[in-house]
Amino acid sequence: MRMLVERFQGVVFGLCHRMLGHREDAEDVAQDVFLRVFRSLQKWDSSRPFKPWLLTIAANRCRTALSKRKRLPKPTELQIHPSAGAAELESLGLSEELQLALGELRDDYKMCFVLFHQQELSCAEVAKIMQCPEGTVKTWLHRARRKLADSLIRRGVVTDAGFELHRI
Amino acid sequence: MRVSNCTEFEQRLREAIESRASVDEATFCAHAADCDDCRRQWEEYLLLSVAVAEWNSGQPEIDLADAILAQHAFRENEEYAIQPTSQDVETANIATSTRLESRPTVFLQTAKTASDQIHSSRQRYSALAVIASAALVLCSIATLFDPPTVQEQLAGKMPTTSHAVPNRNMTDDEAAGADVEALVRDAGSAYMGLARDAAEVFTDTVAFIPEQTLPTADPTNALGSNSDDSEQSTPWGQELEPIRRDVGQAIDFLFETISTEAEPTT
Repeated sequence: MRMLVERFQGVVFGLCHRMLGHREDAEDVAQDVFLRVFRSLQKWDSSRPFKPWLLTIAANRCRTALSKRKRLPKPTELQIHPSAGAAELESLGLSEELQLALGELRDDYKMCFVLFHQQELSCAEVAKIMQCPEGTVKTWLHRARRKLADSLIRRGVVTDAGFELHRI
Repeated sequence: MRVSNCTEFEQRLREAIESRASVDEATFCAHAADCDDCRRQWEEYLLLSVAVAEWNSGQPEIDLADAILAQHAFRENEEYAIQPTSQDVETANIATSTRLESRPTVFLQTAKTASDQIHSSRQRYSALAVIASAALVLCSIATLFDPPTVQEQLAGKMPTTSHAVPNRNMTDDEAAGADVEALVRDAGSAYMGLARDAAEVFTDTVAFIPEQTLPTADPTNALGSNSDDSEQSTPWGQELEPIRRDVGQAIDFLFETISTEAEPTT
């Protein structure tokens, strides 16, 4: 069990952390994922790869956590108003800006983006985990990228990014 | 390879994103410089490429192994910590004994457990209900059969004569003759008994009547006797003499008749 946890905890925690955007919540959900994996390990088909099955459980637990969070009042300390000052925005890096923008996405778009870019899965693998057609995954992926880019541009990140683009 | 139009630009850019393939920047930039929409798409692509790369690099380190294993052990202990019921304990003891002890011992323990369980009130009431139901069923089965009538019972107790059943080897005429003969024998025996009974009754009756009630000569009243007095003193035997003679003749007739009919049987 320890070997199993040590081998896959980075994958599970990374997904939970990117989906939830909160470290402590991600740790709780990651623990819950492994406990459920231990409980239902006998249901796993050994002829299939283990990682997609594990990520399917993790994705479902993240959805459940997000749906529970929606019923709770939002924490005000992590909210950054769009009309915030430039000095406040400068304190956040591009990674944090992307994470904030990711939090504004629909859960389906968010899950699709995280599985594709953070877990580096193919569209077919994401489709299996999310239990939807591959074409739907591609559509969601491009819509998520478009919305994230719009959000970053709207928040003023595009100026710096545009400078970088010119350099690329 | 040069991109000819916006549709091809968008399609090739999407394919590059989905396959994570490297793109020919010069080709895309050449078309993006002439088209505002395609330029915007190209800038978004470059922006997200940089952002995602930085986003993925900032993955925090984590070690959840100890916490997960401790929580798993705690939950397992919680499940085992549930106190079993007394019945579960008995069942577990019996299950253990099946592995360690001999079969007769296990059987005795099982029987003891079963008897203890029977003494519970619910099972006791259940047993009574089963017994009552069984009794009701037996009564119902008994009423399905008609009880024999009094005539059938008496007929069953009446002695049967062996000769009343004709021999199967006989013909019909011979069988009919045998039946008539048996009937006559039975009738003769009945008449014989009746005649004997009647004879005894009449014999007793006659013996009870005074044998001679004739008047004797009174010496004192020999000379001056009164004829009326002699007529008033008529004897009882003289008056019953005709009846005795008729009955005797009837009895003699009966004896003669029966003796002649019953001779073949005797």
